[in-house]
Amino acid sequence: MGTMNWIGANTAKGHFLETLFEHMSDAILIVDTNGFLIGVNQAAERLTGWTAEELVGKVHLCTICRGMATCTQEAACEDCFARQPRLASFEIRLRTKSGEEFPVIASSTRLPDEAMGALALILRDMTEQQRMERERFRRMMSSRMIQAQEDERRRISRELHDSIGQTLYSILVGLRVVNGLEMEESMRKLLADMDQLASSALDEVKHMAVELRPSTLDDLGLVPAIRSFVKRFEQTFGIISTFQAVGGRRRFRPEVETALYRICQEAMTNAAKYAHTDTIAVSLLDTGETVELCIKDEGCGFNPDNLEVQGTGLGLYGMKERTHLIGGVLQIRSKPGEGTEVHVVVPLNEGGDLADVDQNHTRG
Amino acid sequence: MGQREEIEAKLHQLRNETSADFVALALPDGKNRLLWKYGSGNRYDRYKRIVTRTGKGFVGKAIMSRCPVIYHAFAPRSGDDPSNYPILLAENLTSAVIVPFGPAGQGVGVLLAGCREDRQLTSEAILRIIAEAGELANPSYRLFM
Repeated sequence: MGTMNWIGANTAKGHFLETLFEHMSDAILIVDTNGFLIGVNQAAERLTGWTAEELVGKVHLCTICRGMATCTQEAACEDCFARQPRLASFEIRLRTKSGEEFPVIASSTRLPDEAMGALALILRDMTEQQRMERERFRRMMSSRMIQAQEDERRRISRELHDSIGQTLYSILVGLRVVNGLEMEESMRKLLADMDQLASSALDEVKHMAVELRPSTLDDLGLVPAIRSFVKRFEQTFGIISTFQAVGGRRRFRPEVETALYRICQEAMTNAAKYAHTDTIAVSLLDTGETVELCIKDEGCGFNPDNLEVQGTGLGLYGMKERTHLIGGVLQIRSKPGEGTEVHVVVPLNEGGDLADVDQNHTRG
Repeated sequence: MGQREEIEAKLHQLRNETSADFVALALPDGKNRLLWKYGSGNRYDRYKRIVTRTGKGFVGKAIMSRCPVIYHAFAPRSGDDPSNYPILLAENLTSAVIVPFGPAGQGVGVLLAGCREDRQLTSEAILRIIAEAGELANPSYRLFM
């Protein structure tokens, strides 16, 4: 510590100022006109990892400052603050004794001549704020991407149903009218095949529309949507699937309903793909304060700490992301040979709204 | 010997002759769907509960094209849709041949034969399975009503 020959340090005011300097929570660096450090406080020692003895008179400012952040660069030396009389708030990239680099917020002031024209630089660690800001931005982006994807799925689903579905239906009606006419047996068989193809295509279009995004989810809500998904799932995969809904029959916010539906779909699809299970049980519990979704299979299980075994883990990442965006918690309990349980808890308030979440902002 | 025993015996024999692990027969139910009515070499009964839509997935491809479809070294991949191949998942098959068959105008069924654990069907076995499907289309088996 104590590094400069304080002018008037023996006076009461001088003593007070020195104490203030040493005990500030912001790091203060005093730099002479040649760019060498001539004084640092305790916070600066903590921030840089160097001691005052190692810094003062020995270390040049450019050793610990890697440059200023601009819109395009993390560290640049154009318009260096040291060449300006004062700069109230800017960001620099600091390098510590151990070589670690991180962003800090800074302000600088060139002192008048009676203070040797020294530069006073005040630094504050911004790593955590920056991390939070990036996280907030990332969340906002993924929330918007998910929303855009759902909107697009809803649009395509309706288009499929209303335009292609309707056309195929008209073709079918036409084919059946033609079938009523007199014709050779070979022609009738050809017509029957075409009828079968058109009717199969119509079924397929309807199924695609539902698989993209079931209108049930918007019209009737989460419970009927999951119930019919579970039924389709059992028919598709031959896995005995049960669904139990406990609690009130209220609607939740659209984001919550969509997120829980997609998580349920993803978890069940994963089970069908990897679990080699014969049964799967889905339950939805509305306690009033929370809504809990649980998907449980009796399959081969896996080690949740090593998710990359099969696939990219993107599906699991997506489930976690969707859960975080609605302020919930996702747990995956599994062990090799002991089945898998995916458990999601989302806090709600009485209207089925998300608790503690401002509707216009995503959580930081 | 009833019809069921007769068909099952045929599938069993086909499985032995082609060294397949699993052989099954799916028939149309008149609602654009196929039900897996007969099988041989199954691990579980899961396949019996599967309802396959005629236009969907691997089986749909065979039905719509009316051509046998062969899958070698199959494994579920991340991001693909497992509802395209539920029958392969149910029996853990890594290779399969799916052969459509049926009299014109009466719907199409499929004969499926497959192997587990990276074993493959030989070309002779595949030809044998295709021939068997042709035979099953014969009205005397009363598979299509």
